[in-house]
Amino acid sequence: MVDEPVFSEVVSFAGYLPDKVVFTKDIAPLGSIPRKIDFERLTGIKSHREIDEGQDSVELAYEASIKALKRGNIKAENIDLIINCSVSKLDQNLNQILEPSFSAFLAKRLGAINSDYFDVGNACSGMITALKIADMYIKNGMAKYVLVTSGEYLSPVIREAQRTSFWLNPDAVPSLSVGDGGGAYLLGPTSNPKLLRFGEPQTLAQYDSYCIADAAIRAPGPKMRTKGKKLHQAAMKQLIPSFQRTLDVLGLEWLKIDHIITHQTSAKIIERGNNLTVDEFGQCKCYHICVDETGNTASTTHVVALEQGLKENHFSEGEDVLLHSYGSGLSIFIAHFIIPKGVSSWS
Amino acid sequence: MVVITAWADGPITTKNNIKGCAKLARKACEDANISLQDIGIIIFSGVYRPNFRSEPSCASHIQNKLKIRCKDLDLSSKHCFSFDIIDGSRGAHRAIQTASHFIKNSETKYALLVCADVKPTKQSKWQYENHALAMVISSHESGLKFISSTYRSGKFTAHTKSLFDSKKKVSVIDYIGDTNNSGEIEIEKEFKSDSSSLGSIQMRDFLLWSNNKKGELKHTIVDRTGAMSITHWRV
Repeated sequence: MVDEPVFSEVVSFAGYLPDKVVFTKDIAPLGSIPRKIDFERLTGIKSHREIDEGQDSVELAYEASIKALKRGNIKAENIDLIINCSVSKLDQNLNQILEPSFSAFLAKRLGAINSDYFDVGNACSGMITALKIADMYIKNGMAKYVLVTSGEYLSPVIREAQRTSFWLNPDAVPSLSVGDGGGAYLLGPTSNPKLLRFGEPQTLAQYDSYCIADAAIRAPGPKMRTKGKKLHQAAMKQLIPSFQRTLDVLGLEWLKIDHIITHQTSAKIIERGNNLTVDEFGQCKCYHICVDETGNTASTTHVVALEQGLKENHFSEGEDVLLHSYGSGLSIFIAHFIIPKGVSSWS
Repeated sequence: MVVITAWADGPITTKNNIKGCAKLARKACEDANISLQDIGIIIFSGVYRPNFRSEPSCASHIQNKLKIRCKDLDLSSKHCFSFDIIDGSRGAHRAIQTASHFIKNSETKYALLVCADVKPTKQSKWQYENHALAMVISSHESGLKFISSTYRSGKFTAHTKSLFDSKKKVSVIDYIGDTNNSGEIEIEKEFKSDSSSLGSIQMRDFLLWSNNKKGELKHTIVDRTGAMSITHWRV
């Protein structure tokens, strides 16, 4: 008797946004940025969310995780592996979790008593990278149910940027575009090889200095410095070949893909990217933008966009979704998955 | 199944940590008799980074330093994929396991794994020597063969975070709890690393110990929380 090959599928997913809404006009009023730049007009970001009292990165991941587990009808004790990919791993005092991994804290919080855990770091491509690793753990029989999570408590980089002079530090301006959010995917085994697949992962490391986050100077928490224009140009240069290669590798037709979700950096950039793909492939069925209301939530942007799409009833069981991620580094990774059964009944 | 084709280790500095890691990676590739351009995956598995860097991945910095397949995409260009794995002292084991999956499931023949930790800021308390270990992993037949790994959760007896020192006006490492997680394993075929060492030292010590050994080997790492990874090898 030959064992049937095992593949992985997305059993459920969930995004989580804290309640507090912060408006761009309040953090970047006209006149606060050099050359009279209207930040809201430049990015298309009108608002973002910030954590509530008592929350931190782990809580953001926790809120998304319990929602994903409920939707997937899986108990925490049945998870075999948790992979976290948060860029920010901050507690309420802005201290960064170092050891053990962030996912160890999350496993404890969830009561995932039988779960193994570790973290993946790949900036905003971390979620797709973690999905790929989870997929391989399932295919190789090392896990049955894997929870891929992230909790991005990013608003401290806004506060840090606001304390600096944008005239002296123009690379701090893009820090105003972020927002807090959490996300989770629950992966499980299937015999169908086409429910979750990936394009070729690529790191164009010649651009590794274009976005860097580390500890702030003379203040708690992190700081982020981004060469926004150069990063945008580098990313746009790769957009068409990265999509074309993925279509070829996975045998997909652009016009037949139900949903396209690109990295949510700014509404204007997503629209610009869409215009490029329209010229090359034609107008896709549906591309999603949520960054106008959420800001850039780093590794969670795709799943936050999926959650927003759920609320607006955009998704039906069996439809396909292409997730295109860019991460500082410059990392490019694309995942393609099928919306799971039961999605219409998710609360 | 993958083997450790070659490895190199040595001290590095906080300021030049990427340069130091790249130098060791270059040496490991030379010893493996491969070109840097043969590398398809780079995984960095350290915990303590200069100034608590959170992005981009250290692996991407190492890739750029080594100039491995650093070019724009076209429809047929070959690229390298770089990312970090963070799992305390168990990071090296986790990186080997993950690299073995990539090699098994892709066209990648060689992976470069770098495990390195440095004192993040001058003002941090740091009882270790900054250290890096670079390993070339491949699907070759000869060498120290990785068979499997298992992982056990810890008891949260200790953990570390960054902490802003308001007097020194800088972030430092905050060590919390009791790190005494010792266990006794003393047999011919099993090596238990010293859990008070950095992950890269623990892995290096096993590689040195495995030299001249034959048959099935076992390596156990216990991190500061009591979490454990057990890897099985064959020579």
